[in-house]
Amino acid sequence: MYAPLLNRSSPCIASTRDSFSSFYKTESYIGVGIKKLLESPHVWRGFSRRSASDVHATGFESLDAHLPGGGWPAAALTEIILERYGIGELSLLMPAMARLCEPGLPGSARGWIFWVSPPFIPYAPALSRHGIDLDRILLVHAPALRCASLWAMEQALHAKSCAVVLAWARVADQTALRRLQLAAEEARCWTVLFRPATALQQRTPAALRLKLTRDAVVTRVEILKCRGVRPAVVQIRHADVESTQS
Amino acid sequence: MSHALETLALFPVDASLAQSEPRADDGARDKLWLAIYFAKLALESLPVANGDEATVVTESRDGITRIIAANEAATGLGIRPNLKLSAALALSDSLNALECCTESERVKLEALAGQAGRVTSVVSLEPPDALLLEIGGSLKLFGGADAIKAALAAMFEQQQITAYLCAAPTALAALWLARSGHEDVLSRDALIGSLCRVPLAATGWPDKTRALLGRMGVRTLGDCMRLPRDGFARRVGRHYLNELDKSRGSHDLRHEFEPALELSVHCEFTDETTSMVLLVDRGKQLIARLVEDLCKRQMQIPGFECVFHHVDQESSVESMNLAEPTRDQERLVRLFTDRLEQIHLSAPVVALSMQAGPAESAVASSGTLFSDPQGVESQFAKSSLIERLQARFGMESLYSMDLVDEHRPEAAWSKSKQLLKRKRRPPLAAGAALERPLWLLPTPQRLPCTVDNLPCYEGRRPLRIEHGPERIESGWWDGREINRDYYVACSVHGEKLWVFRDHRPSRGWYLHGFFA
Repeated sequence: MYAPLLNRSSPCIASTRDSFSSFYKTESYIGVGIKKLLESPHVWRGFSRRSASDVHATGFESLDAHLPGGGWPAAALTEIILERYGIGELSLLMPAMARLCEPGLPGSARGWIFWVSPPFIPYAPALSRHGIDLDRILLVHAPALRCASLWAMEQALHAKSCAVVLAWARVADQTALRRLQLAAEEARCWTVLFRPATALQQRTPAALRLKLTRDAVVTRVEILKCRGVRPAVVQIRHADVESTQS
Repeated sequence: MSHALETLALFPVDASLAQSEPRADDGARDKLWLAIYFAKLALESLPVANGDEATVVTESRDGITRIIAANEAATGLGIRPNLKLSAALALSDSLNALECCTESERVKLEALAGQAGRVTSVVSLEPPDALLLEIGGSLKLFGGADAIKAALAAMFEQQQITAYLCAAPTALAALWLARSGHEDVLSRDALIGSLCRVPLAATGWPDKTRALLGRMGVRTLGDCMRLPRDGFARRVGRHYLNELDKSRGSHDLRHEFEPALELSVHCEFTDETTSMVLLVDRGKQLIARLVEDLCKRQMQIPGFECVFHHVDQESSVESMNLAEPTRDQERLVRLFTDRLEQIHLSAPVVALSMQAGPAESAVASSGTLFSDPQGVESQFAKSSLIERLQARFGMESLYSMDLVDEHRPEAAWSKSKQLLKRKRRPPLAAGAALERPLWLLPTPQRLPCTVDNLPCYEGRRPLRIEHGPERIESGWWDGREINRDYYVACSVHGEKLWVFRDHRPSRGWYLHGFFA
């Protein structure tokens, strides 16, 4: 149900984005039908740039530069594809999570840091050292049934009481991901789903899809899909990660 | 009215005793008591009372078994209370005679008191078969004594319980008037006149006392009141004089009935069932009853136990725990239905009961003047999320984390079950500055070694040690002693690993975490 005019692949919007945006914003011009269409979550609008309040800065300048708005999408699903664990996937998120734990943030950022079925134990002393408030951590081990983890994620998003949802899932079908993406948008919650490399064969409704690989001292972040920007590869050095710890 | 004044004038005969004449204190002036007399409670408290067979309840006193209550079928045969059982058996040989059970009567009366609590908070038990409710304070809310009586009467009728209701300004007068089948007396002026006509049998005084008064030609309370006070006290007893005074308005202290803190609701199925739809439906009804009870008492519960009764097997018990005490019906129902999806019942269910307790008094939270979207509401969302997850995955699978002042890596953290009300802790000093991995393996994983005793991870190529060792030697006092050298190592794939070399007899290399 993509409107041909507003389709992401439409060259007309992509090239003359700015001149169109002011034109479309005039309420009178937009007919009722189009207005309805624009409100539909299925329609992606090329010119809707995220404002800074819709993102969590990643803490890595090189990565921020490649992400729209300059950070993790704060109200959308982010998919991170890993071939193996322990290649810097948590360190990548730590600076943004630590910022969410800073005192004096608005209410919406004060919710839980919710971990769903992590493969190992997130080690409390290390988290604390990264500046994560342990009181805000909630962890659930869902049984290894197909959709238990996704169910838990969805519940957490609907409850609107989480600042971050981190989940690990082996399998997730298209519909489930779509639901999660919509739930994340509605709850305005930063949602991260870690998936194995087999997920690459699947299309994704997530707003952002990254692939992580490790090469000696460098973590390579491949931006495979991102709304509004071109795919890119960002290299994050170990040294960068360690410097954010202190 | 004139009759009342006449009796009053006659009553204080002795001038010396006139001072002890009851005076209504001002605080009691606007009180109104409603007595509920359950005439057939002895019968109706027993489970088989309402059949079509002639059934009576008997009581043995002084070696003679007399009937104290009879159901409709028995009354139709001419069987009346106070008849001897032998006489009753002569009237009907198929009579079903049950012995009176004071225990079940008491339980039933308390249950009825709990139900009557919906119209007033002051309920007093008058065993064996009556309740006294102070309704003076509820008149405005319910729209008068008649409306209250109608509501209660409808409730008792629905449960097929015979009840006589009567309102009067004093508790004892209301009780005696109810027993004698009198109509309401709402004003204090009319009270004496009505009391005078009440037969002595309605007072519930012992047979011996009534017989004594009967021999004097005293038949009604009016006759009693005409007797001189000191003579009455000496011959009959001061206790009975006090009762007469109380019925006319002297101080009458009563024990208030306090409902038990344990709540329990029960529901039987007509047949064994495995139907989830039926179970959910009945469960919802039970929860509604539970919540109604809680609302009446201004209480909330931290969880409840659900018992599924089977025919030949032991009942299955499921406890439903809430993240925080509540009496929110929707939340309890959701918890119940979520859990019902998870459990596997070993046999068909014949009855369902729910027990909760001890209940605690509900504390209403005060909102903020200026809107705080993440205040009370978010607390509510948090606790209901916890409940849902716990109901689905079990209590053990949901936790938060705490730091522990401990050098052993596996003991340096602990699972915390206190999810909502977290206490502030001072930051820990031990090992705060040490480099620790973000992922910890639940149990260390043994690594294969090369010939020159270097650890390998996923393949034959040895790990490159980046730095170390950090020696951790601790725990000899509790039997979980460790003696390890920790290193940070790098694998060929680029992962940064936390490995250790064990110095105990089992020696060897282990992987304990990832610097993810």
